[in-house]
Amino acid sequence: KANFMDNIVKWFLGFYSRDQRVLPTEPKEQVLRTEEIHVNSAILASKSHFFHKLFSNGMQETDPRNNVTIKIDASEAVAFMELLHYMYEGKVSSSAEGSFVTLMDVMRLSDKFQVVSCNDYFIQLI
Amino acid sequence: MSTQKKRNFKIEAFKHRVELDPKYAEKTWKILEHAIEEIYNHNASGLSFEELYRNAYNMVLHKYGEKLYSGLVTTMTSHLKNISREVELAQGGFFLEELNRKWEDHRKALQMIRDILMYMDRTFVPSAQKTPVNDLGLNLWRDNIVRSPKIQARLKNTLLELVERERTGEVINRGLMRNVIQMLKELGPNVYQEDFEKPFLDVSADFYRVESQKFIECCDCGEYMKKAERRLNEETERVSHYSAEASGGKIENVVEREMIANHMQRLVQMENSGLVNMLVDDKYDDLSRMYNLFNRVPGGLSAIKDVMTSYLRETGKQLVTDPEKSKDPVEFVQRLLDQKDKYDKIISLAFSNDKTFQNALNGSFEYFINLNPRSPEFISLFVDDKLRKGLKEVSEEDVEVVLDKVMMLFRYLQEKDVFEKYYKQHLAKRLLSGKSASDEAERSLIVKLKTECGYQFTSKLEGMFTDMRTSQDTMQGFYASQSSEMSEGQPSLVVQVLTTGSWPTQASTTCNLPPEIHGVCERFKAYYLGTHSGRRLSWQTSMGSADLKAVFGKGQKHELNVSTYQMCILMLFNSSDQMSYKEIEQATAIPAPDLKRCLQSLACVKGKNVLRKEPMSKDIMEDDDFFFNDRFTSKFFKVKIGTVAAQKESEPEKQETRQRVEEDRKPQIEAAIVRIMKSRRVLDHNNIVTEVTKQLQSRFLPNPVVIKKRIESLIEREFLERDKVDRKMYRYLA
Repeated sequence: KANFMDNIVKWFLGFYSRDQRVLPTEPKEQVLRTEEIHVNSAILASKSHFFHKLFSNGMQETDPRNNVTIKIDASEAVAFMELLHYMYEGKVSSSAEGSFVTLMDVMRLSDKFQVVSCNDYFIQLI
Repeated sequence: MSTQKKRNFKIEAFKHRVELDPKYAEKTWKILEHAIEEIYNHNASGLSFEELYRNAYNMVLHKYGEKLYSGLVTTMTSHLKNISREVELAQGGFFLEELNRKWEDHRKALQMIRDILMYMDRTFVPSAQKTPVNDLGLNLWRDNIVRSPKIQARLKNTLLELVERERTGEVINRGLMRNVIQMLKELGPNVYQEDFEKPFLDVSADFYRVESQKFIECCDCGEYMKKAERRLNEETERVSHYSAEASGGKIENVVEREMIANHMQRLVQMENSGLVNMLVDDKYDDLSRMYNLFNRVPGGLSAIKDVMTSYLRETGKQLVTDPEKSKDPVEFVQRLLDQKDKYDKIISLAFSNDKTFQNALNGSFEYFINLNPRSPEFISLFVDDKLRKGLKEVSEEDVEVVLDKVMMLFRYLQEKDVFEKYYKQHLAKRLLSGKSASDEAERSLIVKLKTECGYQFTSKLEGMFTDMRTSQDTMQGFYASQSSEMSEGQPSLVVQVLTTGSWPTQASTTCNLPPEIHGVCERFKAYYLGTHSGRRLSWQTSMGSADLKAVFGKGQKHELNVSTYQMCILMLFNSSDQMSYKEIEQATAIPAPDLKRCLQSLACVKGKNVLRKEPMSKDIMEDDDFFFNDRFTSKFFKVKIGTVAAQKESEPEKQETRQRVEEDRKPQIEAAIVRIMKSRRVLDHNNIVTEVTKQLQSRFLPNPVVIKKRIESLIEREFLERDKVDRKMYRYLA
């Protein structure tokens, strides 16, 4: 069922803001901004269990005609882009390499999205 | 900035969250629960994987893993209970189909549910020691569907009924069967075994018990075997179609046990069609089938082997002990060879050259060949027959084949020394009468004997060949030296000088040679002793042959080929036409039994009766009179009369040979005893007997009584002594 042949998938990055101490329930969510980037689903699927299932398990996102939206916390925006960077390049950008906070966020996200075999890399950087 | 600070922050936030929105977990779970229902309702394509995954992730992250997990169990269980009711409602043949369809649905749903709960599966499940989602889904299916009271028995019966229907020739939906069994397999080996394999094997055993009983009552052995083989193949094929290969070996065992093992003896011994009949009729296919089937059950092959062995021994015993059949030694041996060929072929074609069967065959032959004490003599006679005239009819390779077969029989002989004795005699006759058809074949057999029994066994035989060669040279030398004194009309002489010891010596009483011959003999003697001083020559008149030119009444000439003795007798008739038995005996001094035999072949054989006897009768009496038969006619120029052809020994001759064999064994036994004692120094009686038997068994089986006598003789001659305390112990005296 997996459809990794679509080279470029159009998708949105939804950002929603929330008070760090407030529970992430729907009413309080608020989309701050939306960013649209092109990704290669095959690369993402091969690096992350989450993306692999996202593109193949038969729900909405599996259909290549649909755009895919990932909602993340505003504070994670930089880290998320770095994670994508890592999945494509095998490393984070040079600016992130020096930032402890960013690296910790990227690591947390890599756990959330189940990016394969990245722990050693991050631990070594930190 | 430190990790410490961040972690603290998170924990705080968590506390706040619980206080601030107690309904968070409940709300999030509702979303997921709804999604699970949608998945079961085939509406998954409308769901957002990202959202569901994020919600499940957040629940686990915020310590609601337990709630999420238990919620899943509850939801899935209630859903499966509904499915269970639907499956129960399915009528008759649709039951299995419905079950299979629902199973497919469940499996797909389970896959999706596992995907959205992937984060929980990876983090919460191992730390809380829960069952992973996929296994949980299978367990719930097992407990709520497959093993629900209303389904479990029905499922089992349906499956077994389908198997039964297929066995009786109906066509069933094998694909469906395969899927359902696949399902049971996925639910774990325990489910597969309990809910399918075990009952399947049980009913199969019952089925084949009944069927085999039915078959064995009405089928002959070959037919039964065919049916059993087909059933076995069917079952193997069936389990592979059902995707139940794991039970392949077990169901085969059931069929093997019920159809073969339980009826083994009865099958093998089945009257008119059992093993013995198959052997008699060379039913290679049936035998092969029986071998392959019986090979599958414990004790199967030995059941075949035992019956074959006892049948072989029985028929073999009849063959060798039937006096009627041992009349003609050549035919006797030929029968043995035929028998051996027959079984060799059976073992190679039907019993896959099984070593244990070959051993059984060899053992049987060894057993019955030695039942007849004349077997060694007959085998030698058979060889004699083949080497005498064989080559004229058959090619060299064929002779080799025959000789190889003979060697095989030779191996079975216990009394190899007896064979040697006879072989030597027969070979001597062949060589001396020039009737050996092929030097090469003779040598080939000697090489074979040498390989089998060692140098010692054949050295004397080889000595005989050497003598024959040397004699040729001697004769050339003799005639070269005599050329001046030889004149026309004198008899020509061919002498073979035989080394004493190499040849079977017969206590020879030299007969009186006719004067013409005697002169030549004396001249040869002078020549020979002149070149070889210190030797002694004695004439073996009991051997040898002569060619006589004879003219009969109407002037017809014939060349008579006769033995030395016969020549002596016939030469007497040069000077008179009538002689009595007594006169002949006196003139020739031929020993009575030989004389009678010679006269018989000269006077009583039709077509060869150059003498006439009065009164006319078959046997030679001491008061018979003999006449030159001038009315003798023959269409051949050369007439061969009663040659020295080897014959079966008469009773007294046999006794004599036997005695000589026994006599020859004594020094061999003594030598063996001395060899053993020399290395062991001290040994008790029983051990000596065992050792001696072991050492000599390649030649013969020594009699323990004889061994005892030899030991006593050795003690007398002070080679050994008895232990002074233990009289059963012997000590070697160096």
